Amino acid sequence: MNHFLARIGSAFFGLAFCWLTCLSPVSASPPTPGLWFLGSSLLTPTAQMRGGQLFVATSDGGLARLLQQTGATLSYDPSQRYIVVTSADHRTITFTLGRPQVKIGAAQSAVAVPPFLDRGVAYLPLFTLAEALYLEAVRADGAETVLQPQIGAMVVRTQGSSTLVTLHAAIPLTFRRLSGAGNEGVSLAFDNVSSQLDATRVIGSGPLHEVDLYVAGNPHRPTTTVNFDPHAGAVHALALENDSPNEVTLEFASRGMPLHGEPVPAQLASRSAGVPPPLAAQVTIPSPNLAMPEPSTPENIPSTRVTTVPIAVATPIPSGLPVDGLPEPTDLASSPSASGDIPTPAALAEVSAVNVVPDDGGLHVDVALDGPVDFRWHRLLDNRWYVDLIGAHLTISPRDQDVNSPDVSAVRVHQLSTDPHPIVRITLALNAPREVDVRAAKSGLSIVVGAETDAMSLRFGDGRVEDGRIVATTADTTEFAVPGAPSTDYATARKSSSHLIVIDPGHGGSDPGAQHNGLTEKDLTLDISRRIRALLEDRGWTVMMTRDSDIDVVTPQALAAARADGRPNPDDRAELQSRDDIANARGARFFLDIHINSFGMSNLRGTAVYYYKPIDHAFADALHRRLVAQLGIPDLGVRRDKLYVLNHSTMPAALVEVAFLSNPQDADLLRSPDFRQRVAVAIADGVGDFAAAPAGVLNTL
Amino acid sequence: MDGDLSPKGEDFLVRLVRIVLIIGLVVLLGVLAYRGFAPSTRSAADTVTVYYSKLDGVTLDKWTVSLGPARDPRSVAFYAAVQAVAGPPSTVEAVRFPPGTIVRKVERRGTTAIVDLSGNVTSGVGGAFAEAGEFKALVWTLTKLPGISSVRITINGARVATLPGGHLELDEPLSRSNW
Repeated sequence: MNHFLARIGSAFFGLAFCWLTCLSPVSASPPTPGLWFLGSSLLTPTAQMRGGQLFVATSDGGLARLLQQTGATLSYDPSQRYIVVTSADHRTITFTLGRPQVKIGAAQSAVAVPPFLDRGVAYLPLFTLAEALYLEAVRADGAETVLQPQIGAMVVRTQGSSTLVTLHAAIPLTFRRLSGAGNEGVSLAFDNVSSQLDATRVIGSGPLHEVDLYVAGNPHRPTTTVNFDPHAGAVHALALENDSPNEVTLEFASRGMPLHGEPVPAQLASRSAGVPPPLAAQVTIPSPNLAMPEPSTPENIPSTRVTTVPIAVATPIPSGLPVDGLPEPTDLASSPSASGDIPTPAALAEVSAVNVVPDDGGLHVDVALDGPVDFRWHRLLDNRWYVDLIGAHLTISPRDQDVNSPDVSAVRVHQLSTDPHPIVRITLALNAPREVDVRAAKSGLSIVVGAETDAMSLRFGDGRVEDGRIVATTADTTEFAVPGAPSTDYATARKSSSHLIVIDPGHGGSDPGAQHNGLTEKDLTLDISRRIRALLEDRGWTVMMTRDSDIDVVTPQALAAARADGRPNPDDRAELQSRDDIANARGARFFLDIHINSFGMSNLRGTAVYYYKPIDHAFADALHRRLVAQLGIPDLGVRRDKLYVLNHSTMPAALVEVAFLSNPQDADLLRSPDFRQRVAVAIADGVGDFAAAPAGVLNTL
Repeated sequence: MDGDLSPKGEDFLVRLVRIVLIIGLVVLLGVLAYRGFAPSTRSAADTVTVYYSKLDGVTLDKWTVSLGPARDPRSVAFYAAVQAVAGPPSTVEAVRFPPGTIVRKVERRGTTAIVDLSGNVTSGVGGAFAEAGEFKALVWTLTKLPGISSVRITINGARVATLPGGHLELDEPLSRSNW
């Protein structure tokens, strides 16, 4: 008992000690004078000294400016203990309240005093954070401390026959080229950044021999010169792969080998975050291998920072830890991705057995799975019912098995699609319309055939089976109809004698959509839609457009009603719902939405067709087949996505993303009336294909 | 016989053995109870799996991130969401959230994680392609965590019907089956 009491006493004492050392309020001291950053004094009104360390509040305006200028962001939820700063080069710097450690990428190191709460406000050690963001605290004259932006890491990697060198800095990198344009080597001067990387880095093999760094200037205005010294005959280029302006990548290759970048310009002006370099040229989509994180090999581990300028308030990060550890080598190397034998994340389970088991009331089909799997089931009008096991591989032979049962005449099991999106489909041919239920079973899942049901109801649903239970099921008994919209179902849509097609030119009015390369999405979608209308009307269809000029579609009355209903985001909802309503209210046979894609990297191009509801799929397929065959641009496939207009339309609907406005080559095509006419012809042909097709086209199982 | 134990001596031995056995039993029960009730270091995962979309906009890849000490479910969900929004290191080509997007809060309501993102998420130049890649990775990351099957997105604390570029519908929770 005494021992027990002693333990209780120790615990109480320990808690009291923790409270005293970590959580008790600290008397605020005036901000440290003379903190200098990027040409001005850095005011941090909430600064506190604790244990010789300078702390700032996560809500501090000075900290916010520092993060903004370095392209970093801070995520902190006061109800939790983590404080995570994401640097411009996508490293996460994680602090935990009360924990004397900081985690930078995969590397963990100690801090002398842990982050703490003071009156409900979280405080971070400023210099630890600064150093992780490649800002070095150095003493200038007098009592002034300069947070000096650094080129904090140099990552060298091999890609095919090329050597790529990426410099990572605290701030957006600009440079002046000091060497002649035709020189084999190249020297670049980076103003306003210093570096404490090794003065000489010998690369050795490959086209690049070594990299030398020199720092000049003063603590306030440093300049770092980087001299890239290739082997004789090598060529170089400015690689166009960086999505952060805080990085610059140079590519070196032996003479005669291909380079993917552009000649290094005489100077590189500032770039805004998230926007590709202005020199971006057309390149093809990189192969998946190029996107793989490099394994942690001596070639791609950045050089270790050799020294830091010690100042009294700085928190030194212990040497030897990979604080420059780009790109998180431990985490990524531990991922199966890095080793190359990655199952795609979708490949979660293997189907090792499918057994048809008669029971008292009917029949069930047991499916053996070795892991969690998402499933999506559908019932068709012809009494077929199927379930897709998404991300599953079939390890047994496919089968098409007759079943001697009053309920089910046949069961078919096959691999519907393979990597990268493997799907196993199990189809039951029901003898009559019956309820079919998907349940969790010890070995995986069980498909249970039950009582008779309404013949004309098309039903679908989805869920996830994991650890012997269904952990997510949505729409499992939902009639396929959109609440609040005119009721229809698959049969109505399919048997519709309507000759009305509604075309929605995406965006319009106050919403221009994407704008790139001198083009605006709403103008292009309207032009293409008008061309489609002309073609379809020539072919005997009645066509209605949601807009035939540059306007918002929503009426003032609909907007007012949407704003009054209390649901969130009424303006956007009303605008999109108005487009669906035009088709829904008129019982249109098809709904066709025309858009132009865009992306932050200019190298992506191609056409894609989106669907969401089951009845959309075959319609999207038909359009896609024609577009790919007749346009000859890269094929991005038919994609399922929960886009508003698709989800809220009641007939077969598809959204065509014709091409990428952000890609110069696609933009040139879109500029051409001839190309836009070809797009219209392909879409009109696709509509014709779908309308003329027998039901079998829709339900190819 | 002189060497024989008297009945009194036998009683003493028996009692001694019983006491030793009882003490041993108590110690054993104590150890078992301690192991049963003490927080197990194995009960919490050491890592979270974080997904990102490759540049085809469809294929997901993943990496693992080790967890700090804050392993309560809500903190883990917050940490995983932050990692998914940050994306993989910059040398990995990925579909990424617009610059400046931060995770403001993550709550759990039943099996739904409610992720509040900053308004920067609406500033992206991407259409349906980018939106699908961004949110698919976030949803797959969070639904990989035990007990989370869907993700509701709010922006600056408010529910939204859709995003402005590609019009991904956010009015209802997203789940893996949306793609």
